[in-house]
Amino acid sequence: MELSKLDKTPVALAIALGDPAGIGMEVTLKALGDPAVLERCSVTLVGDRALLHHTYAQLVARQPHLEATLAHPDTLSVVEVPVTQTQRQQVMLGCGNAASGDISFRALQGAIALAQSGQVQGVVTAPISKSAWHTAGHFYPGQTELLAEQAGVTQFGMMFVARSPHTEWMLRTLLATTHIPLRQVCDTLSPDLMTRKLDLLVQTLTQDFGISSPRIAVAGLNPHSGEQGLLGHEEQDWLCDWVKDMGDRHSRIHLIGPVPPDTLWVAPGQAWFGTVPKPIAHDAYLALYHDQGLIPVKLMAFDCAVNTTIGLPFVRTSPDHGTAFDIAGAGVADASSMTMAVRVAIDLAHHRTEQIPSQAALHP
Amino acid sequence: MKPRLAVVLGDPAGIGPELVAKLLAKPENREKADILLIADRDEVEEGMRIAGQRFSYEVVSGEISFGSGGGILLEDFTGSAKRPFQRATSTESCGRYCLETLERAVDLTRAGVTDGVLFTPLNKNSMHQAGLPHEDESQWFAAMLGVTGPHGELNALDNLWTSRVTSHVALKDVSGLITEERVIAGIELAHKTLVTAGVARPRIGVCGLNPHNGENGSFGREEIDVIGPAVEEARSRGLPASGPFPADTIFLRVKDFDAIVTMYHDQGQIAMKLMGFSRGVTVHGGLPIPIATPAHGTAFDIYGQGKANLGATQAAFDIVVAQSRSRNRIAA
Repeated sequence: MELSKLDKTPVALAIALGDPAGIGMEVTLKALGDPAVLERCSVTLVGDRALLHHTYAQLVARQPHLEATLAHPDTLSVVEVPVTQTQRQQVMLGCGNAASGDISFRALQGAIALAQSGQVQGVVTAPISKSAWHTAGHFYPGQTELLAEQAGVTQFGMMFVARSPHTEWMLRTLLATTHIPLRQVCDTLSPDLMTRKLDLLVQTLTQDFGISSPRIAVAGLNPHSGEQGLLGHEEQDWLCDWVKDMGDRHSRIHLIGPVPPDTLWVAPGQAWFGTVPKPIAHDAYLALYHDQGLIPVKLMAFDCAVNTTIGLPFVRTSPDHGTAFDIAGAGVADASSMTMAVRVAIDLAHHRTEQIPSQAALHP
Repeated sequence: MKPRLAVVLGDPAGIGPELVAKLLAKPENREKADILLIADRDEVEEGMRIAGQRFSYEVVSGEISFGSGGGILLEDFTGSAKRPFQRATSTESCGRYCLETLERAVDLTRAGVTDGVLFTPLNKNSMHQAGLPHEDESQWFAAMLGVTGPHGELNALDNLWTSRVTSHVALKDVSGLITEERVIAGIELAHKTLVTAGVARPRIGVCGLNPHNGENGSFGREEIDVIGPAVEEARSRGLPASGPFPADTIFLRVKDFDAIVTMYHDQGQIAMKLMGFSRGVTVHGGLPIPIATPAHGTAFDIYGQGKANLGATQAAFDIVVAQSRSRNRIAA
């Protein structure tokens, strides 16, 4: 199904503006400068209005041509977070500190509150600085953990979504493990962890992407998937059996694997670049560790991949870049990832809102 | 002098003979090098029948001399393998044929009869059934040639090469195997191999091991403790290396590097296969003679259909030709 063509009732999104010392506000104003985006959703920004105006003025002063393409803050709806005048004055573009950390933390809290109360169906998060959060006394490893805690969720997953500009084919990659040292990957993986990730994946494919019988490919762990135990045992010890058990358990899904990690991405590459007429690509890929999934995601979709957190009671997407303090305020930040994050959030939220009435109709 | 290549057909149960037929049927390839085929004559004919393309050859025996005419010579060599071969499956017999033809090609090249070796895909299972005493053919070549220095597989795709610090080992063993010495050896191997392939001063990028390079030690310290110091040491020895760089974005910087040194098998292979599954080449680096092969496998599923893609074999041929030329230049 072509998600972007689903244009029924506009959905409501909140955008947490991220660290005000970084490029979050800039890429947001750039992304919302495209009128097509605002036709498909109503957006509420969460952050500090005065800083947003200040950023806008500075960008236009530095790059006058931006005036024609940036969304003007006066046209946007902003939910303010509590910011003191002192904090505002302490924010320095290009330099994350306690003030910018605190403002970005409160912006995310505000956006979550809008989602929890049902005023928006999705949250898009501009980048924050973890060290600025820590300096401000907010000790979370990242935004995802705060989102999960406030939503009361313990199982969540990091998935990358991108639509090919060449073929429109959609790449969806879920990571079974994320930001851990490579030496801990093998001990962290287990049938139990994999089951939790697969359940989340099946749920999101069904609920957010409208794929009722998803085809999913699971990566092997070792070179050549272990080559019958010669190059590692995990496939033989449990991974092959796990794939088989899951295939039996989920009758609706078509599951293959473990696929040798280096050949796994050949078919998606063909589907993405359109090099082969009918590649045998899957609806989603379950990668076992960070770079196993991210090397191919970046090779295919460097500037258009969107990071989405699955398992939350609302949609959450974020651009796949950081605060970029080094270019903050210069007006040169590339907003394509933010634009994609907003578009994907709209698509996913559309699916969720479409699903809820239809389920209600079945069970009045 | 035109380079002289020893060419073997790979595993006859796969697409190797078909690929050799397609390669040598091209007049421009016969211009680039003189060829000594070491193969069973019936297998050569079978390959041409499947490919639907022909080249002419002269059968030679005894002492081999290319003479002044050059062209394609065939040493009709069956060895101790039992024909007819079973197709599209791994067998001891095909494995034996692979091992013996390859050994002959390596011997002749070491003796100076030919300058380099090109082979089409092998099947590891067949070779293990036939008693290959090493983990892979790379180790076998090194043992045959008495190599003790840094050696191993490199991969080439268009103008980008990769070498590996660890190769065919379990993922759980990778971190423990990443040492300063091994990283430096991987850089040296990449440097030496690219120079022989005609890249005068290769720019070498080195991968990190952990996500985001470990993010300053937050998730993994190998970049700080091992890989970074190894890159510094390599630079102090005059090797043009830089890094470590996060592995998920280094492959986007192909314009900045001629070679990328990866820490483990799939770090490089995921990228290389995604970027060009049908064109990748495996080069056996660190050996006294050039040896290369297409990176793909025997493709049993399309055996006998004539539709095998020549891309990687052509690229492998071109690399061995370039390496043989530069070797002749150094020798002269």
